[in-house]
Amino acid sequence: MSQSDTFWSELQKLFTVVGQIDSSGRLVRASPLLAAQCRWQAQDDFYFFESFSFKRPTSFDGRYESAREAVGQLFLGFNNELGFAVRGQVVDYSGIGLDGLCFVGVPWLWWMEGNAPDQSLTMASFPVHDVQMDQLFFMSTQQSMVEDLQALNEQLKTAKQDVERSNEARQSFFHHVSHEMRTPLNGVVSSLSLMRDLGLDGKLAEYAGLASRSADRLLEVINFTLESASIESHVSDAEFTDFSLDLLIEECLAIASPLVIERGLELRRSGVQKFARPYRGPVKLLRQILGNLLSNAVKFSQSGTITLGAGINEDNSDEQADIIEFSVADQGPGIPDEALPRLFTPFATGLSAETKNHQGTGLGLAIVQRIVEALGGEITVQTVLGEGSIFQFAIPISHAPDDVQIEVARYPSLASADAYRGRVLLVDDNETNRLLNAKVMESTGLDVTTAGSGQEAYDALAVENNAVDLVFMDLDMPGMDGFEATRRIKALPGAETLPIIALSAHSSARDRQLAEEAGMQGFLTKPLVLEPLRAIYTRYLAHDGATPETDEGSLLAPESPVATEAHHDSSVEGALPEEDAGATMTFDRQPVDRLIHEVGVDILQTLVDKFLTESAERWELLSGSLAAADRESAVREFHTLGSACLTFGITAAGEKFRQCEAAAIEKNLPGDEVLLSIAPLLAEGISQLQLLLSEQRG
Amino acid sequence: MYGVINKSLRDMVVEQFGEAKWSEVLQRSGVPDDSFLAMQSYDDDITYSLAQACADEMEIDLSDALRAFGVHWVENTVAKQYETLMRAAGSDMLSFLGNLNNLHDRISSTFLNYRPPSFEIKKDAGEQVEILYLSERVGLTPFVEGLLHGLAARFNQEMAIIEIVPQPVARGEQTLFKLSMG
Ligand code: HEM
Repeated sequence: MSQSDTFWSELQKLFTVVGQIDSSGRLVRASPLLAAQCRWQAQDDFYFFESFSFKRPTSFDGRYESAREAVGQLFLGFNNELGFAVRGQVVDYSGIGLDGLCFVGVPWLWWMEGNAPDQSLTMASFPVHDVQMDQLFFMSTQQSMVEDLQALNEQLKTAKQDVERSNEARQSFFHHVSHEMRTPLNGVVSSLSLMRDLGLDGKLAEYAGLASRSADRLLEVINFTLESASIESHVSDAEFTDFSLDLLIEECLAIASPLVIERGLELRRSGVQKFARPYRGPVKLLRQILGNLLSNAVKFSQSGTITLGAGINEDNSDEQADIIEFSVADQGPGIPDEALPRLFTPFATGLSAETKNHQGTGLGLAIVQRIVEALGGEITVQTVLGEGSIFQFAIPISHAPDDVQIEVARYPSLASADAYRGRVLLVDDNETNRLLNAKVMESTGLDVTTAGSGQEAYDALAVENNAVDLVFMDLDMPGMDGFEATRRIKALPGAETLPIIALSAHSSARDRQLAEEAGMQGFLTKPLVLEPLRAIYTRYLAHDGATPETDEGSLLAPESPVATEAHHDSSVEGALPEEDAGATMTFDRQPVDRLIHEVGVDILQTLVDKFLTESAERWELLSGSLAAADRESAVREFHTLGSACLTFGITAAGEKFRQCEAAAIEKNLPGDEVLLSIAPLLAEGISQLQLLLSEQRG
Repeated sequence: MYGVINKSLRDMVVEQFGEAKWSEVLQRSGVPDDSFLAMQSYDDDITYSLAQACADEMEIDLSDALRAFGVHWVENTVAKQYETLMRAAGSDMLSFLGNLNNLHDRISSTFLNYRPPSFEIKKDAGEQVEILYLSERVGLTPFVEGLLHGLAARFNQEMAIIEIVPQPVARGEQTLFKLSMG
């Protein structure tokens, strides 16, 4: 055997694909595997480099010369027709007697696996040192691992979805149940308080008190549960709007102020930091946090000042946002040490009575804390017994573009588009109505002062009549009524032309006539609605460049656009309540929706709270007058309660009060048992009102 | 043993008896979880516990369970995942057995803890064939029985195991299989 033959057979031990190629590119000698796969026999014309498409080397163009230049590089070539692919290199063994070039290598297993799955390779097709089997095994296994991982991933995903779904189901069940509990519970709470107003004594009073305290607490817990269940979604769904921080603070102060005044406290904004730039953030949540802290402070202060502070923390490198530090400080009793740890975690230790006495149930605080944290802040409290507490938190709030138009729809200021300018005096003996209507009027930018009686109004105007541009005068007031007050005011020097608009719960032709005779310029039925009010403003007040209209046409005629028909006017005269109670719905959300639209839900909530306390007092007075058969005062209380109920959509109870009022006027004073028939209607109406409000707030 | 083996065992139970049964097997075995990674080496005890739990759960002998597993390994796992390798190792039962060591060896460069068995063809006289199985492990002879039946089925080879002769060894296990091949 020649040396080249020996070398040739040694090559076969190292490689399974071996071919000798002459300078024309023709295969002149081939290993058995190569020969078999290429169906080549000695003397056949088989041009090796042209027969395969070579993916590597990329520089190789299929010519013999090109192959020579690529000696030492990896060759990967395939032939679809043959279903064969090779992996190897070109070497020049002409020095050892193998003329031309040699190709040495192995089948390209990976290509064949994918493109010629029926190939008949065996283990002998690969030299033992070849790693392609390893590779194949590894890749096959890898593929099954990937499939496993995908399956596992799917499982995890479904598991996660299952958990989420069942969580949602639980949440919604929880939510539903809480809602369902709240409605009847509101009935219980209201009925209990009405029951107590009937003047129970001894043990009965004691038990009713206990029941009512427990029911209050339960209601609070339910409200908390409802609210806290939805905090996360609140925060994540929170609408980010552009707003003015100054305006927001003013608004929070305004919302808190009725309660503050009622409790004889003082409220102010600390410092004079004015926020020049507009911000973009979750205004609703901020309002909720501040509102909650403020009302908490009010609730637990017997005296002193409540201070709301807000400032920019300069220690901040973010150019797109400011860190705003808020604080609410009170001069209340302070929080005892032992109550501090559970201040924000109401359910951790249960709602013990002592916690309640110290710093409320803290339910509101727990919610505040969660919102603050969700917004990226932390709330802290500092407190000194007997001196007061400060709640503080800092959260980042993004800048809004400088040229942004701040929307002030919720709390319009003079800057708003349809703003009116002028001072208005609102005269009404009913405090709720007074506050509510003042808010409605303020919402269009007016400067509103109020008076609680005809006399008070007269006194105010007698001193400074020139300062007022427009007067709204309730007609039915104890003492000096609206007609009388108008006559007197009109007699004041300089006040002859002062426009005075009558406010009445009825829109009877007789009242209209009396109003006109008294010198009034307009007549509005309560509850007040923004549209007719605007018509009045447009006529009598300056607004955005326009001066008041001078047309002196009477606004008193029933067909006048501002003289709306009374919404809930009852035409049943003298009829006793029981007879047509079924005809009216307990609660009508329409007027409430309108109020929400006009003054915003938060303000409305404050007013409703006010109404609830006030109506409880009125109820007591009423039951007293009925028991004493004091017709005059009963008429007044029926009237007040009736109009307040109708204002807030508590229709059935409102109508009953109205009917009783009418009956009483007709000298047909009902006995105090009538209250028992109104009580459930009132309770149900109140609970529906609360429900609606909480939904709107939620 | 590598995860690929444990996975195959699981697949067998799931395919034949459903997921619920497998959960019971898994629970019974005391093996904490079954997310085996094919290319990871696991303690042999895991494989043995799973096989034992299978047997207990099905109320059969461990050896029957291992036999069934042997058949499953050849007919399902290997045929589905490693068909190319299997084909490369031979097209008839005897040449395949002759290549099996080579096969196990060829795939070893990515495995570190890999301790495959080896097989020697002791006698190849027409119908009478003797195969010696050598393993570092103990107790897998019934598994090999199943494997041989699986291979016979794969290659359409008539085959009966005439005798199984355990060989005395100090470590591991060696078994002589006397086969009759038609
Ligand atoms: C492509 C096909 C095959 C692959 C990829 C493969 C791979 C493996 C692997 C990874 C192990 C585990 C070794 C360890 O973890 O230490 C193993 C064990 C084993 N294999 Fe294979 N195998 C294949 C085919 C076969 C066949 C057809 C037989 C039939 C006789 C066989 C007989 C065995 C036996 C008996 C064991 C148990 C180990 C022992 O006895 O100690 N294998 N194999």
